[in-house]
Amino acid sequence: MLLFVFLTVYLFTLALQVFVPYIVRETIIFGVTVPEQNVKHPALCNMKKHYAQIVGISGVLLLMIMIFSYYYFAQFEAMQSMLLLGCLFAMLAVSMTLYWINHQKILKLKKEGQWGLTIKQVRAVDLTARSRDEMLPWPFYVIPFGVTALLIIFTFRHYDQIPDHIAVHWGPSGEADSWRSKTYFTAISLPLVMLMIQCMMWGIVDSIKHSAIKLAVNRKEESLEEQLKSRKYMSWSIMLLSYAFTILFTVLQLSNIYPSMATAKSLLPVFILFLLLVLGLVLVYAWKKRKLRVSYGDNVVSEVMDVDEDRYWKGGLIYVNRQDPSVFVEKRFGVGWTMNFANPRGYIVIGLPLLILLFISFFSL
Amino acid sequence: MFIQIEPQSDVPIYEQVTRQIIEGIVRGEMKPGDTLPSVRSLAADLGVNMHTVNKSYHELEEKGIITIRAKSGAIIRSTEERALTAEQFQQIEKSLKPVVVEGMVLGATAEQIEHMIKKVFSDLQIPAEGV
Repeated sequence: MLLFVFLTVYLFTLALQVFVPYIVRETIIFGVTVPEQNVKHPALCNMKKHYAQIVGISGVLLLMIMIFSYYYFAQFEAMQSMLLLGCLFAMLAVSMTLYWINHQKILKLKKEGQWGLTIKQVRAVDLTARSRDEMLPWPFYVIPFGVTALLIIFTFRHYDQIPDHIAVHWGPSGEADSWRSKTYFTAISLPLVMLMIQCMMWGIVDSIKHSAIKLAVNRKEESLEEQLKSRKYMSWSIMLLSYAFTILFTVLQLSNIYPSMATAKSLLPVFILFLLLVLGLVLVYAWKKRKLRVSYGDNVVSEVMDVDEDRYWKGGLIYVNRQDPSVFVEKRFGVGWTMNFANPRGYIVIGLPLLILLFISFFSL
Repeated sequence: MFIQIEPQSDVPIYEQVTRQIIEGIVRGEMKPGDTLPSVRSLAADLGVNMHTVNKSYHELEEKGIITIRAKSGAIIRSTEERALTAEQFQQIEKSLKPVVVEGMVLGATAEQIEHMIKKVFSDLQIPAEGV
């Protein structure tokens, strides 16, 4: 079971890593802004291709090593987990190393070719874009709070019925493997964790809603379409994720109250469905991004380009821009969004719920 | 309606925003009664501080081009509401004068300057007749 779950996650991560250069904006190659006027430079195309090939091949090799040694060398579960995680990180290390080499190479190309030095940098905004934004409104993310509240009330009403030991951790086979003795606090620690996750989801969507709709100045209409659709899809995904967490934690909490439910057979499908949903959402998001991606048939002939924000991206990966009021920005190398580390709102949205989560687990686990 | 900001330009960003919104209204890309995006959203989209957008909106309000309402945001005034007052007329004449004078001191003729003004109208796709 462990191997099956892990293989799914591994193959999924590998596929994303291989295709990342073809999913992100074409004007941002290995974390470097390339003007549309130079985007079809032959060296860039080769770099992407080589990256995909090397990551793909080494990923498959590592996969074979992983399966082989899983059956021949790893006898204990702890060792198996270590081995599987080791291979996953090795694959990510290969991809990040290649990313870094290419990042440096393109920076050099850009400097030597003086790309974009004489081109005017502008930022385009559509004043009507906000009225066309189709992100879901906040009540969609607040409804699950009601489930949590009901679950807490339900738990207290059935407090006497709950066994003296409460499951707080579940292994890969779907069976609980860690318990704590019953108190009023441990009894509701799961719903509290659930509440924090729901808050975080709501906070993330709200912050994305107030973050920039970024247009490509030479492809305004197309990029606006792409931005509006990704935002809409993102808000749907986060809503589904929030509901999935709610269902998962409700089932776990009910299985604590009614221990007869808590057999591995009944919990395992819930875990697997949850995992598949998460992976599915990311996959569909990546696929949509690829389909909506603004494409350049050839180098663009234009006197303007988008603002080069490279200096705000540390290593092309971490965004630190004090001037930018956006809390979240789209990743430059990867699928999804990343935080503006210079914006204190981000720390509140992500950090505060995480801190409370740690607090809950520290006192109840 | 699109606006384009040059962050590295000598013209301050709030002024670029003001000018382009005004131009958008003159071109008919924004109609009376249309709402401008909230200060927060526009600041995010432009990647600038909220004060910058706020300054621009207040300038537009002072000029009598938009009305800022607490709940519904910044709304473009109708043509009747923004009818030119005598003071505004004087103000515009006053701002135009130094530009014309600068052109003349550098040797531009009256016809050339008139031609320039006509060119501005044609850029905006507005007939220059009767001006």
